[in-house]
Amino acid sequence: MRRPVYLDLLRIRKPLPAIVSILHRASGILLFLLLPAALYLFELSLSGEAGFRKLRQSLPLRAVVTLLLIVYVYHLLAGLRFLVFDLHRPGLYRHARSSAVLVLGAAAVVALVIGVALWGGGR
Amino acid sequence: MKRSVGGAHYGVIGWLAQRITGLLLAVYTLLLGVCLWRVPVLDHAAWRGLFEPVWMRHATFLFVFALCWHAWLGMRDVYMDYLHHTGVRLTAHTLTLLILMGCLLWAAGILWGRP
Repeated sequence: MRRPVYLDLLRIRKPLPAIVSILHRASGILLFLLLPAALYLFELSLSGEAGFRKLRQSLPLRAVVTLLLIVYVYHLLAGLRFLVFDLHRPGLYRHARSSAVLVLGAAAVVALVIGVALWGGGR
Repeated sequence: MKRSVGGAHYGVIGWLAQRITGLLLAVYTLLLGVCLWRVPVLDHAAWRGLFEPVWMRHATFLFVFALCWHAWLGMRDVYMDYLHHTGVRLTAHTLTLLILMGCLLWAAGILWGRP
């Protein structure tokens, strides 16, 4: 018997709940790394009329805001799914896959709404 | 001397805190979402006005506090999983705590620092 066994994560087929879980962790790390950027943007938005306008008009800044919001919403939705599973109610795990689809779908819809709100309508 | 495998249950407290702070973050996000929804035109005055009331500043500061705590617990789990060298892990822990404490102070400065 050979131990330990390392799985090549890039080669094994992953079920959808695994993908949702990995993305939850990756998004969490990204949000931590972007936290100073988020605070900078928050400070800029409250600093005055000029800062607020800069935030509105600068494409890179708007892109960062969009990225932050979408990653945040995904992390939130996937986190709520984990909270429900933490209740450990019998039969809950039957919904592991369908709830993973729900999280990905809902995150995609919210991402679309955020995209339209921030980039549509020539603001 | 009575010993138990569970130790002092620090792990359980962290586990629970991660979930409670996560729930708090979700509640605040919903609150801010509703506030933004009620704003007719989101210009600088309206945005500034959102964070004018004392209760909103307190709520926002609690949000950032919960966020930093939540981030600490999450990053701690990530480090435990991937950083196997004790010195490297300890350095990452220290840097993360310093960054998060700095962020918390920064947020306080943004919320109360200027007239």
